[in-house]
Amino acid sequence: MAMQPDDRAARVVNGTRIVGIASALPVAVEPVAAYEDRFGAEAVGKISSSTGVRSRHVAGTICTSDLCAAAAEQLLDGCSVQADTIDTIIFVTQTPDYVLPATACILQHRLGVPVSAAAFDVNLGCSGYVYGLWLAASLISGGGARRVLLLVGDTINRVVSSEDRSVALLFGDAGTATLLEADEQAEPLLFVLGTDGSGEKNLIVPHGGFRHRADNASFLKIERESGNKRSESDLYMNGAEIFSFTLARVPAMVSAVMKAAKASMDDVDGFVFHQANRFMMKHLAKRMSIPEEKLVVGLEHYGNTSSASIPLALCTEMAGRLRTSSSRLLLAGFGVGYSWAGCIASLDKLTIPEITYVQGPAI
Amino acid sequence: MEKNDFLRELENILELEPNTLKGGESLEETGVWDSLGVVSFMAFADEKLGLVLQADKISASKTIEDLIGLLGDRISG
Repeated sequence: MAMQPDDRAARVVNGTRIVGIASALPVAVEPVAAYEDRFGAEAVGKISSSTGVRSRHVAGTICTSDLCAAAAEQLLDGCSVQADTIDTIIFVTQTPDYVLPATACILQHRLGVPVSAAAFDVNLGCSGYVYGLWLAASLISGGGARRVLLLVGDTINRVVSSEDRSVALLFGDAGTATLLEADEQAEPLLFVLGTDGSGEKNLIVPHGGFRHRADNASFLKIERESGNKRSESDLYMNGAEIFSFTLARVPAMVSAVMKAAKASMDDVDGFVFHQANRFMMKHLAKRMSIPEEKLVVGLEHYGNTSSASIPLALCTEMAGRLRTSSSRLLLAGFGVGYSWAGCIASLDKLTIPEITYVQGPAI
Repeated sequence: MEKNDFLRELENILELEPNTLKGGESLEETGVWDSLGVVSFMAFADEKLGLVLQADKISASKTIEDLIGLLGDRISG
């Protein structure tokens, strides 16, 4: 089914079906109340009631690849798909196993995917899931792949300073797997993407790459704004700048996707935004006149899980509906980069296994 | 929006008792101006006044008058 976009910014991909989604979480749970001694009960309560996060699953020494591998095994099993039929692995994360090699290569071997597979990493965060869908679907649509395993997740807590209030209570860790395959009958997927690298410094881990190799000084925790302490190897987030960026870009992206799809509010069954924090999602919904019952919010027990937040919310908040019926959803990721990606997708009777829990290695 | 209405909105944003702000205060004096306040103020300007404010300009504000200045002609009186 061919589709003419109404908007030049929109990218339409035909012939790809999303088959199923699975999510995996670390077993360990950390309530935000654990920080009351450090930051004070009042501050923790205030932050928690704004972000909507009460507890999160934290990775400890677990890697994103461990979570994604567990999710992938669960998903392939649930879909009755053999690993040797996968021809492409895309691993989207900001927390890979190594600087090199690409973690996707390790996952090929680990999951028993054939050596004829293409496998590569993509370094994106909050926008990463929708980007991954676009990449996977475009490869399939163009004939470059038939069956893609899209693995998306992050263990951001591993780069968060527990003494930095602006991030310590917010992030959770999670890994997900999504299976996409060629299907000529599939409804078109419609994407709007965007990038503004002028925001690079507002959400960043400054050291550890090749602009600033990690040295001894990279791990020194130094007191910063508002008494927050972190090192140059820890995540820095300027929440106010990120919020300002979101206000400037996300409503326009969402309306561009809807316009291109010629969709009204009534035509969209659910809006699944990157689960950044509850305050931001509620504000965006109000601003765009999205009915409250169509806004999917699922971060109370998981926190902001970066690239995993959209597929995780689909699994934890919508599994019942997505398994049994057909839904037209608007997915929107936005953040680190700055990078943003929105999509309208019709999902029909997805395979969604129960959440898998991953135990950390014994120490 | 009238300046008085704005002060009532600001009390609401900062979770202060109603009718406590006079308009001449420094933000520090309110005792509750922090990063969440900055974000709430941004959300207010976006929702009620249709303005997307730059975070660094809000963060650099010292007084309530500075905040009013950022809202330009959207605040009168």
